[in-house]
Amino acid sequence: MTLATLIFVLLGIILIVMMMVAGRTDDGDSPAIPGDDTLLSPFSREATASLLTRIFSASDLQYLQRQNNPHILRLFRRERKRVALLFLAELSSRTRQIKTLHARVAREAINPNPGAEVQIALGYFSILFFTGILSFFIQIFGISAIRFLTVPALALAGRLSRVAQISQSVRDLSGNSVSR
Amino acid sequence: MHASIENEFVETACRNLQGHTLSRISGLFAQLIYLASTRDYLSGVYHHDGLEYEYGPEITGEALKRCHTDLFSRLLALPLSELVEELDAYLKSSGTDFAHSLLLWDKLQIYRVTPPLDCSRVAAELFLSNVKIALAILYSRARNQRPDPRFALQFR
Repeated sequence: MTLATLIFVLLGIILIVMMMVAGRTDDGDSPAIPGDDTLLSPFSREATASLLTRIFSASDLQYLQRQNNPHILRLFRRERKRVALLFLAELSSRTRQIKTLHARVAREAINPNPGAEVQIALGYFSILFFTGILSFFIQIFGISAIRFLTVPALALAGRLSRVAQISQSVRDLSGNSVSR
Repeated sequence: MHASIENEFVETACRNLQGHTLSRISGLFAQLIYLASTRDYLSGVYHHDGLEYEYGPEITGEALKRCHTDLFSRLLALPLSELVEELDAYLKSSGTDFAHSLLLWDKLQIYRVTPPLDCSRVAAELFLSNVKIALAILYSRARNQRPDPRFALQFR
């Protein structure tokens, strides 16, 4: 083994140790994480469906088109696009919060459940991926595309709800808990 | 106090509020403004002297909060066309000059204090965005109906 390789490996080990220490410090300083009720409050199926119906409402767009005022129509398009993107950003943010909460529990779990971990990881990455795709479509096509996005957006909210339920079931197992 | 008993008192206080106060206020928007105005700007706690005398501050606060959230949800669920009419009726109800009220609402954005505390950020933003659009529609309508020089002012 050459000296350069040795230094490279040592630096790698030092970096890993530093990241582990930083991770532990973060845990100690991290604020209390809200429970699932708080995390999911705006994303319950009922609340989400009614919100999405309003955000992606075709009747509102038709009403605005009847006003025959390009300035108002532009304002409407801009505002709805902004709210639709905010919805997706909130969905991603809640997903990350659930993942963080779950990671803390999983690290100290007495009864680990590998199947649930895989499901949560897949759910987490798929939600982030699809919210990214939807955001991209909204950015590019604006509200001419958003009326087709109600169903996938609702499906994403449903997926988040399932991820939270799986995470909750892992936490509910005896011995698996996180200090709040 | 037991949760179910407390809930029953809150329900009674809500009905009392509906029957004696809100029923006298014409229009959903006016009712929303009224309920939002009973909330303290610093503490976020709701106050109503009459109800507090009868039910105490905690039950009253919870009843006002519940009524506020319910009413906000109803307004949020309205199609934009109906929200415009609600806002129109409210701005005309006070008897003050419509053009002045319209411009004041646009400038000060008074409606930003109307969402309840426990509503989601998306719901609040959607509502505020709808009010902003509704104000623009009312402004456009008013400008077409009468050539008031104040409507020549820049409206966002």
